[in-house]
Amino acid sequence: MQDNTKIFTEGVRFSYQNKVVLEDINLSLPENNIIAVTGPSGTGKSTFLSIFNRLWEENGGGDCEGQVMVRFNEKMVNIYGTEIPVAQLRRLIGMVFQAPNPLPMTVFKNIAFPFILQGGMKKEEMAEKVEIMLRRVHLFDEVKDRLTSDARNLSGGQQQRLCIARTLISDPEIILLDEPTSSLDGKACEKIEELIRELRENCTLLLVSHYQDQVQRLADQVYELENRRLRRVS
Amino acid sequence: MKIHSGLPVHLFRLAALGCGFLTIAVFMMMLYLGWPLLTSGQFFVLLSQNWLPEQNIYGIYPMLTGSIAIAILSLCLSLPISLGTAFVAATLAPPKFRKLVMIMVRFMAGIPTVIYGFVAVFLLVPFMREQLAGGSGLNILTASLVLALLIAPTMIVFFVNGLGNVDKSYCLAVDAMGGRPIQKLLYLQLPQAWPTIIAGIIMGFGRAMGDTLISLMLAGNSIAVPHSVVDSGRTLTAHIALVIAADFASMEFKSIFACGLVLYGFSVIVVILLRYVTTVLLRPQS
Repeated sequence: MQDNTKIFTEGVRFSYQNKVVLEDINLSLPENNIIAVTGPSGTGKSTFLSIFNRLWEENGGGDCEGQVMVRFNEKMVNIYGTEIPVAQLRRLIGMVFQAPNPLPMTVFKNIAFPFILQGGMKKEEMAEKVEIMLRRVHLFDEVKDRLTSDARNLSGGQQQRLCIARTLISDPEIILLDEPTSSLDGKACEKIEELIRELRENCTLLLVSHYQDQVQRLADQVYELENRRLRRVS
Repeated sequence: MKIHSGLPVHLFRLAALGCGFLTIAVFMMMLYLGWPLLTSGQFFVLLSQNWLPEQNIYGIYPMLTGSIAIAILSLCLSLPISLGTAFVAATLAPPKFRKLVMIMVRFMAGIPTVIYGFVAVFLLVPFMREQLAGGSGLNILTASLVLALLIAPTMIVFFVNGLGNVDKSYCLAVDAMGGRPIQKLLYLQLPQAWPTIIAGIIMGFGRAMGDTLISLMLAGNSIAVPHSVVDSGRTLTAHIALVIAADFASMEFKSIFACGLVLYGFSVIVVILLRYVTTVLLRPQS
């Protein structure tokens, strides 16, 4: 394991209702990289991502074996151990989903929602951070007059950037991107890709995508998921 | 055997028409028999008078207050229990435990009302008589406590459905942000499910108002207006069951129809409110 290793897995095996979905997953991923995972539909790419924020546990019926380590504050932490609570883990490992999923509330509340969950932050401070985050995802000018309107009325591309802003506001160290552009048109897709490139400076990104051209444009490392195993492609 | 493809559709339509016709027929019969009461103004007199048969006064005011008191009290007692159970069954408990809770709730809903009444007569009534209220132990509170238990499954099922129908993508988003189950419930599920929760409360209140057996067995059936929860009382439904009048022209007999009309009117209000809540308030937003 190298000093710049952010994610390390060894012998990871994931099964759902006694059916093996992933096995023999051994990875050592460097920080501040975009790592892409490709593969045909239904091979378990989204499941692979959910291993890192333990989101699979919400559905029940799954079982994850092996070692999954993530470097937080210069220390490798077993994310399935007792060292880090799940809520904290999910704040440090953010996730952007395939389809934009703004919550049924205002644009402002959507982005500030992680702070609402954490509690204890003043509204002025919250507003300041929301503005910074909206500017970071290049959305501020488009929504500055609609902060109090329902976030679900934004366009698909705007919604996805809003979801990215919501993820970023917790200051995550890793971002899991589950086909973040698959439901967007070309122009919206370009904006998201631009944003992903910018995020690499501060985060490690795990990107699941079935667009080969997008993977080639963005990724530093590419893995292919085939027959339940990950294989490094480039 | 070959079945004509249109036949089942016609049969189902016939069944639906039959149900609609029966509902209208019951209403028409109530209206026909209660019409003299309504046109002569006696209906409103009956609503405001006490039941004093020895003075030829057959008012249903005590039964009206009894029904409303028992329905409101049982709803107040049942609501926190139902909400709490629904929260556990919808979100807060682990998946396996949630299933177990719902099995128990459905089982509760299937128990015949008379069993609840029977158990209460032997367990709750002596406790009420000896430890809490004195008297016979048959009072508004006793009936309300058991009725609260009776209407709980109906409300729990409504609440759980409402909380469970919140878009999964929203729930997943909150989970992915590190939201705890209680936060997910308070910040997302409750604000989204409140129209279904209101519908469940209306439904529960309707059930409490319409129940006959529990109030008949446990409320004491006093014809006096109840002034406290430990007073005995009689509901409209119990009154219909208890009055034996053979003379169709007597006010005693007519008072039963006054009770029927009030209950029917109440049912109509419940249905309209339910329709409003489930169609207008639950309309998908843009």
